[in-house]
Amino acid sequence: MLILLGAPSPPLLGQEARLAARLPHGTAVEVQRLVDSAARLRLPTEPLIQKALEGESKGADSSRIMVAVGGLLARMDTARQALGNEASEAELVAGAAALRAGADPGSVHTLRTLRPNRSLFVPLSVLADLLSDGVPASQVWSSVRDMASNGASDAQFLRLRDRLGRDGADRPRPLPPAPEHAPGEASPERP
Amino acid sequence: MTSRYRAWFLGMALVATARTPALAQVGGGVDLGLGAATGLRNGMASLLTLLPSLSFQRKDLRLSIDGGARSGATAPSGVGSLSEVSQFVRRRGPFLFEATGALRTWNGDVGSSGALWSAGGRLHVGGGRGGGWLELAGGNGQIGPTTRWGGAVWSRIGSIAVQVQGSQQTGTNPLVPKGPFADTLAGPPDTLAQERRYQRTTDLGIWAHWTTQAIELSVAAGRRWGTTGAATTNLLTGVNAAQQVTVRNDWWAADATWWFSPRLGFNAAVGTSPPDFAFQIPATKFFRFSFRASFGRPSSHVELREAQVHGVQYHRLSGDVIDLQVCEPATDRPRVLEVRGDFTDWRPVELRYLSGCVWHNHFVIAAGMHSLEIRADGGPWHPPAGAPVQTDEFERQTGTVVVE
Repeated sequence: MLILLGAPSPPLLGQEARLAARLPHGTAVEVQRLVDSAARLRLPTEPLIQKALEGESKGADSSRIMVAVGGLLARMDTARQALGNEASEAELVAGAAALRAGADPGSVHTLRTLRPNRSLFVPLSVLADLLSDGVPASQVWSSVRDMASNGASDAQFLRLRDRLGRDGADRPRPLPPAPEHAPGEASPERP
Repeated sequence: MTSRYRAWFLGMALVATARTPALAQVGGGVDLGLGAATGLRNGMASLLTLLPSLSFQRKDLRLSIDGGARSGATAPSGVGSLSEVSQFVRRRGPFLFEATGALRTWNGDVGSSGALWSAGGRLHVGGGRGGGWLELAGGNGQIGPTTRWGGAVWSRIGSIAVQVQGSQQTGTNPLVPKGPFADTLAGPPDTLAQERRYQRTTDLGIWAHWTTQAIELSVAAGRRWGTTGAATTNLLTGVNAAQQVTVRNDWWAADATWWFSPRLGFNAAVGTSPPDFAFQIPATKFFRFSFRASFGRPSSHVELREAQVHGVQYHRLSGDVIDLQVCEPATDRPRVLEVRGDFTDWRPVELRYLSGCVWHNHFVIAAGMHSLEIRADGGPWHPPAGAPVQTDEFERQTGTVVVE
């Protein structure tokens, strides 16, 4: 027993290899516990693993990674309560994003009732994007709700995002390559 | 059509039809214009210009060939070309080295026909919103060996790209004996002096470019100094003498293109062009209207519009295999563009250059909302241009894409 003191603690049974490879051991174990909790709750686990890997890639410390993964787990759980047990992984991820962007669970539930038999991940993604974009919540919600009421297609929701989102000057715009030769110098035949 | 025009067009056609592995990354265009210019004979003359250009890009190698034919009643006529090749060495930190080679030719009814080649290097620093570069090159031209150095700083201010650039090129011919008689072995020295001529062109200019939707506007202005000099050494007395003449020319140009379709545009340009001292081509004033055709590489406004409206493009190839396309609008096209996201386990994956500002690669991505970032040449990660942006749990801006 003494021999084991100071040695790394053994991995949890069935620990996700990507977590073990990328995260500090202690963080990987803690994230794995959250992943296992999600599995027991029948929530998708891959988004949690991706969130942890995202944090690692972005240089976040362990505590921040844990907060991010735990927060996502909680929001997916809330989203499932709003969307129902049959909600898909894509719907739960988009629902969690919408909740994080400021949507309330009641709105997410309303969308489910307005669009009971069709996938909601596109409307929820649009809701999340527009709220994150800073579009007034009342405007976003009324637009999304009206479109859901009218049976709008996913493509129409995406067009709504393009219309309401900050497609103008706030977003980076492509520019042509900068010139490396003064005009008139490039070739002698050009006027 | 004269033989030199035929040979030139044949050469361009061979290049255009050459089958190379990089064919998918060939871009090109043709600019056919009508206009007028005042030439060396001080008369406004009609001007027909044909300006084809081709470019190849494969990973860190870039090759471009610009050709041109110009014909006018009294304006300078002729054909010329500029071929450039660049090999980029990936940056260390903020630096990027570019090995350069260039060949210029001119064959016309004014000036001196001939060729000028140079080889050297350019060191870039910065990226994204601003930067600069320094260059040094050597070669051989009409007058003899040449050296060239220059530098520039550039910046993106909103949707406008601005560059200030300076350069100097000096050509020096070998020592030339001077004397009243041809040198002979008999008698006293017939060569009284040796002369070395040089020719120096110094440029300073500013350039600004603005693109919005289907319109491209650019304005430029600069000053060119041309210096011709001679240093003479009297072999009898050992006295050195020098004479030098400098002329100064200011130039400006404004250019507007309206792309009324992805491949066709209408272009109007007006301005003055500086003299080309290397080939003794005089300065001209000009205006020109032309139709512009682009092939292989769509005009930039197409990607601009798509990037603004859709951010990230994708095409489903089969099942969950997606051809993901992103636009990287950096002023300097990066050598390497990488993406990472929840479909790459947040590991960087290189994208392949497609055309314009668009890069792509194939990924397995399930339907849903996904997060992603890109980075150019090892720089900072950032959301793709035009993509919806969310602030993640790590206080970073991350782009999103919805795959249906």
